[in-house]
Amino acid sequence: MDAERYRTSMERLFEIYSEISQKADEVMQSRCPYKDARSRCTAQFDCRNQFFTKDPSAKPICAGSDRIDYRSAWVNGGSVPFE
Amino acid sequence: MSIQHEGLAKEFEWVTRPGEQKHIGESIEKTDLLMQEMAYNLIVGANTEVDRLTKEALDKDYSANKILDDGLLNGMAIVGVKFRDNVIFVPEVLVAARAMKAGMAHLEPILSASGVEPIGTVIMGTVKGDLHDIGKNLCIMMLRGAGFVVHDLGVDTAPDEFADAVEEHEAQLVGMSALLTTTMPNMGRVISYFEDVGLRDEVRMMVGGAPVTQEFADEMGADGYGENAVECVDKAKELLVLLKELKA
Repeated sequence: MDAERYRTSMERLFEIYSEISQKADEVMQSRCPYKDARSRCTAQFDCRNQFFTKDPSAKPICAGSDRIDYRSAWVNGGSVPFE
Repeated sequence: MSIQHEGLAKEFEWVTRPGEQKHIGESIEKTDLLMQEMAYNLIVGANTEVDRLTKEALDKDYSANKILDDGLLNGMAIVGVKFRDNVIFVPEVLVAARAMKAGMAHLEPILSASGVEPIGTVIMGTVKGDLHDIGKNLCIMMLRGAGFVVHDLGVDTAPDEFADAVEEHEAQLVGMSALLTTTMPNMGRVISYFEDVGLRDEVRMMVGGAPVTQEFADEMGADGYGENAVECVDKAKELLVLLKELKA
């Protein structure tokens, strides 16, 4: 294991991740971050934009237009608030 | 020499900028089929395959440097390009990052044996009552990329779960996330819990999430606040230095 080469590799990885992170901040302004490339919803919570198909194993389709603030549709279902 | 792996060759077609084609292309072309298969599986987020291929490569005496550079990093470079060009989105990036972690898990013992230690250990979780995890997961990806060991407690995390994880993993930092204004106060409850069980001085606690502000972080007694994943890493490094100075 070449420690110096490893550090150089990790710097490259961090650079890739930093660019991803900055782009994510930009994308999240106009597209729900839980929506994947096939417009399926990957959220663990309920959202009014989720459209379930007949296949119960498939992720719901995102029916959001992205023209409005998607966050108002999020519903924090399935969890009891902490007291 | 060309890209032998059919799937990877197809993924490489997304790389269209000449400079990147040269840089990433040359880096991939000098690798063998096993490394190309690893890169491909990382891109598509097949973490069990990346896990298996990393083990196979180590069994075949590939060096940790080679696996990292030729397999994992070449794959992640294409993920970065696809994300930048809106071919994939945050969920696909996160599954690729999970695959990266699956591969890195096998390299960590080798790194440790070579004297390369993680810069710190962080416990991360979304607080009780909150199921939003994208921001937290991006922070985790960045922290791991910066050389931290991160234990992810997932969503809906109770104060005692944070405390137990700190003790179990001897973590120096805790990162809490919340997206809802209704669950945001639970970050303060975690901090209070750490005070109650005598752990507060052992760790530094960071908070983040869309509704969280520096003012709110100060009010609830957090040590650090990050507006995004890049700031989260900067803050983690800063707090780690302060904690080490305090304990010295």
